[in-house]
Amino acid sequence: MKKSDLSYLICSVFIAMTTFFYACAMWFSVKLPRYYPLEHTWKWTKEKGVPSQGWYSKQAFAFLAAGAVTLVVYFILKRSIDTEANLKPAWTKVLGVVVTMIVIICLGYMLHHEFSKWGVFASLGW
Amino acid sequence: MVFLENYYEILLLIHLLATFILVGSMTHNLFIVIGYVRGKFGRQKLEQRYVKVSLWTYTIVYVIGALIYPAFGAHIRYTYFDPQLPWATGLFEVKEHWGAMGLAMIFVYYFLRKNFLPAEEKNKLFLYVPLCLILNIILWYKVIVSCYLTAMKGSW
Repeated sequence: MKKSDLSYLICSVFIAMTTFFYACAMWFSVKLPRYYPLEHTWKWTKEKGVPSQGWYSKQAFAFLAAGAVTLVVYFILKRSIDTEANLKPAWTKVLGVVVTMIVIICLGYMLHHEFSKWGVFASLGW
Repeated sequence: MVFLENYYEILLLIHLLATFILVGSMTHNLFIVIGYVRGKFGRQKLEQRYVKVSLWTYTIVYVIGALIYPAFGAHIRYTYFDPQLPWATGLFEVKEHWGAMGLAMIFVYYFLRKNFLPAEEKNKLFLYVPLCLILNIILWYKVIVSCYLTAMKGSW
């Protein structure tokens, strides 16, 4: 497989998986450590009435999970695909469209989740 | 005392200045990429340079943003936005989620661009062009929301 085809596949998998795992962390409310800025500590629990931030670990979770999947895909592709085989043009297009759709759906979900939770839609009268 | 709270304003200013460069380079990049869709491939080197500048400035903007987030959270978000203007927190949270996804996207975008020639591998534009568009949407959303929220309450 050409180097550019392999990097196209790897990039596609990584970006689709990153947005997917990030959205999953929100959808399933995955329990992750939170940073407490006033106490300078990390805790697994979310304490009420105390400022805490889960954004850092949510990203770390998405990046690491997507990185692991991408690595597995990379090794599979490296081993199983003929070195002279090229990615078919039709598959290149399909992959591009599918990845774009996954990214848009996940970003849309993030927006919908937060706008619903914090009353942005309600303040707009929707 | 919250992490880096004494340097909050200067870091916020650097964050803003780096954002100007980032938005400039990504928007110019978008115009050239739209040209690719129309079959115009004359400015590929310039476009690649914009991608490189965007990668570096995005990383700087992101790192500074992550550093000042605890101070912003403790002094502005939790004391002002959450209780009084929850919809502002909603706008801010989307900005943070999209910003994190943008970081992954800008690295992918750079890596993708480094390994393909738009004029010769047009099929790959099916991912490259939407990524460019999405990155620009994320950036412009971040800029507009950040300016709006900072205008409401920029410091304490």
